[in-house]
Amino acid sequence: MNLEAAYGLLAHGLLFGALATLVPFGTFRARAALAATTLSLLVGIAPIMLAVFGPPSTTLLFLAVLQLAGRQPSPLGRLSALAVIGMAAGLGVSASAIVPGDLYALGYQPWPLLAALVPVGIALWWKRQMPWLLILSIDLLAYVGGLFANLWQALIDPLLVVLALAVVLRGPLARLIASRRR
Amino acid sequence: MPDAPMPRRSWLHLATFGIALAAAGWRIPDAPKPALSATAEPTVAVSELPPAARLSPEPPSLTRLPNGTLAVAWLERGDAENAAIWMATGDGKKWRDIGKIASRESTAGATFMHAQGLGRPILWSEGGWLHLWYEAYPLGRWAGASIIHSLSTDGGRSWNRTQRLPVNAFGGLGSRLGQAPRELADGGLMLPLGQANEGAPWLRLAATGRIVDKLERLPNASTPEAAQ
Repeated sequence: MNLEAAYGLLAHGLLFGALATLVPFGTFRARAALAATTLSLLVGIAPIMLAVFGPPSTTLLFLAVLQLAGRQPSPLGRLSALAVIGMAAGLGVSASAIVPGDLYALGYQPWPLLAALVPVGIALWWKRQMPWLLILSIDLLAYVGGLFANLWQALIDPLLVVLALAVVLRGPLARLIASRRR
Repeated sequence: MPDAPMPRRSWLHLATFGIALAAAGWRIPDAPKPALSATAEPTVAVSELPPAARLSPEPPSLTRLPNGTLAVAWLERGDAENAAIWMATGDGKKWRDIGKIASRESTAGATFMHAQGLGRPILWSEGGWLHLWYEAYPLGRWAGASIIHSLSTDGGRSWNRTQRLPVNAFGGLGSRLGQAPRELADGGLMLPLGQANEGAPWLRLAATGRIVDKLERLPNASTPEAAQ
């Protein structure tokens, strides 16, 4: 066992618990989340998620913890979701060899990434986006602590991209469904 | 800027971010300019490998131990889902089985991840440390691999510090291992990723196995002999 594996397993358990809280269980919300977390660890959902998606980013874990704690609205709004999708698109395009260079490789020697985060952090502070400033700080501290060998791992992961896509597409899809029912 | 003055807590958040950013800069691993080592890779004719290694569906991996003997690791032939990685040591003529050094069960126990099967192994001796990298397939060979690293300090009898290497942004469905690794002059290693060596990236590792960088091509050799 190692730190990354233990983190990955427990974090996927919590993600599954946070997912369960989206179902309107009413007063049983907390119990449903606990049961879902336990179930995902016991029946092997978390190990499969860990194998397929890798350890979740601390960004996604923090959002899941806020969801479990009932803090609404989530900091992942439309604008931040678009930023996540933009980052994922950049990583995907650079990995597909369409353009030269590998953006993901920057995360091993992340001087340029850290330099880019300076204006991002100042802009978040200026706009009083304290939850996102806190999330970025936690991501950086997770990297410092040796939880991740690549800074991108702390910032973004495939499940966070799926969540961001859901946030962006939720409105247009709801409108489309409503227009078809008329 | 918003009209109201910044509350004291927001300054605290900014200071935390600044400290975290500085600490992250301090934590970045050193990466002096890489140069390939002149050390020649050990080679053995396929007919002189242990019989089980000759039947392996993947190329066996050979390395030279500090005492001069050779060590070979190979993927077992047979049921793809239960095939394990085995190891033997010898002088290139006679071989002594060390036994099973990685399996689905040992991988799941160490990394907590589900694996449907294992793939190509790469064995590498660095001083008293023996490194093993191998592929683990979360969903099967068609979907991509996770690369697992394991370390032995007793010549391959026991393996520990088994962990998955983060090599791409797409979780566990990533590149497979390439052919032979290349030693660096500083004791580190260039680990090939991807099946086609031409154009496939290389993972630069420190002598401890820690990832230092990912490069698109091999660095130059440190001596004229190594360039050949």
